[in-house]
Amino acid sequence: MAGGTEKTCLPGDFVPPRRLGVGLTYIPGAPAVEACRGAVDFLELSPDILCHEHVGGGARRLIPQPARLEQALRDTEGVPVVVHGLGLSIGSAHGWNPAYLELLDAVHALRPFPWHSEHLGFLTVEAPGGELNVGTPLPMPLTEEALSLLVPRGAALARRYGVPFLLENLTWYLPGLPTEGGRDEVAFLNDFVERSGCGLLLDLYNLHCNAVNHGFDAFEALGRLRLDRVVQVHVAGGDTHDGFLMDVHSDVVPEPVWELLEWVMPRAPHLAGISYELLEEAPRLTPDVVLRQLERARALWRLHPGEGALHGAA
Amino acid sequence: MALRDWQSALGQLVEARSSGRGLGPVLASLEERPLTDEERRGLREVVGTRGFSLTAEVPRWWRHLRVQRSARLTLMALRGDADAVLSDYLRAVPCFTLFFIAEGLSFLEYVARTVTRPHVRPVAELERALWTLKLAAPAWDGTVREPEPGAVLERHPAAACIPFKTSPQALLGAVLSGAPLAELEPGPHAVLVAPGVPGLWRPAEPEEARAFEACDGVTPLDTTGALAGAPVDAVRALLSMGALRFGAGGGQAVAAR
Repeated sequence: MAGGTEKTCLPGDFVPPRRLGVGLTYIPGAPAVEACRGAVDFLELSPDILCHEHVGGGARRLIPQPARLEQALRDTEGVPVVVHGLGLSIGSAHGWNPAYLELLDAVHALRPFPWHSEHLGFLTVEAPGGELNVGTPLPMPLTEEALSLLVPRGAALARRYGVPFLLENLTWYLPGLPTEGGRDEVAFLNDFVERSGCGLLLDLYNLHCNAVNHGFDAFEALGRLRLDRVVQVHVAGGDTHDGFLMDVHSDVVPEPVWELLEWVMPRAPHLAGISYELLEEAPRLTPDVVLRQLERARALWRLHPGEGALHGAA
Repeated sequence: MALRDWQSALGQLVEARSSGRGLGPVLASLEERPLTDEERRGLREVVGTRGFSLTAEVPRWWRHLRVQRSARLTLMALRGDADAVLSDYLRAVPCFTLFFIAEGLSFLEYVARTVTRPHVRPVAELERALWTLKLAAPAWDGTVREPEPGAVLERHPAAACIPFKTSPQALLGAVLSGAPLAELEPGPHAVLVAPGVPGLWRPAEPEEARAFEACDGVTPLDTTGALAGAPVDAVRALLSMGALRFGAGGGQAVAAR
């Protein structure tokens, strides 16, 4: 494996990171992000925003944009940054995106992160004319073959940067995902963390969307999930379209998601951060509105000091 | 399950619906793929669900948004044709990126290549050239070089000189104000896009356009420092704006702004 600082991290060697607190999506120049700088303990960066993509000759290249990189470094100075990606396409069976890994290496060299995460899904597939980008992450089948693909990739990512790698549960709208032996998403995620030594980014809004759209009990699902591997929680809000609750980060956190968060917090001993996800184009998410979401998250955060804090950790 | 084949089939189905091309060819190809009967049945059934329709709409929305944000001027020039051209683009060019500018550049290239409506092509080429330059040359150090005997010139890889069939200022003014484009007075004009131009673009003098045109590939200067068909002053002007530059080893730095 090329690049990056590698440390010994065997499967099962999950080492929880230090607690950070309440965070927010980093969007350069967004008024809400600017206004809330003093109200967050960390920022969540998507490395894709730092570069331009060039696709040609059958290869993808991510070309860092120096101005964006400099602004990001300036904006995040003194604030812990965690990395949350989509472009790796970790679940693509024909291969993940090596250009994204190179970008992650560059980001890590400039601003080491305490953990990083990816969506559980695949974006790119093989097609007759070459690689196709579907344009939205599609869900993985809940099968042993999918686990066999993801487990070594997750473990390799954790080794590459020497910090926990987290997989995030996805919202999906397709019915009837292929599965084996009755394995559902919760069982799949549990198997993944058990075999890989990785952690989870539990997106409670995604879980809520899936529970509403596919008709299951989110609390029952959480009751079966390995909450001891949850390092970060996402909260967000969205919109409804054609009867589906959609993962678009365009609104305030709905009450059912706050209730899920209240339930999770005392049961997730290694939870190190809660972050509010927002969409740059969302007109409803004014600075005041975003600030109120962060304040509510912080109130819950303070109620639950976590296992590390009980033992005197930061 | 052959995960790779299942993903390929599902991804192509979603993309085909999203782009508006129709599912027929992908569905027909399922028989040739190494999938189980159950997997083929599952894929045929899923395309009839509301969840599949919504899944395919999501990338379409994003592609629209990406083009709207990165090809604003050209969409304005397209006027009432904008939606139809955008739909044609989505059908013709499969989704290949999640990046706003990459999608925008692809759309602008498509418009410049396919749209015949008067005056749209140069607007698309100008918008594309501006993005290309912004991405390639974020800073211009202002270094001006004096030619030496035997020096050769080349174009800055992100510079452009775009021909217009009417005054570019009048055309862009009409695009932005919504005035009729057909009433613009015809005549040959050109716009120079280069890293040393304040604001990155300005109308080009006819001699500058000729000099830029003459410098195709690696081009030697004549003994007076001119290019074939273009006077020395025009060459110096293009050099000073970074539209042209000396090939490896040529030229001598004389000033820095």
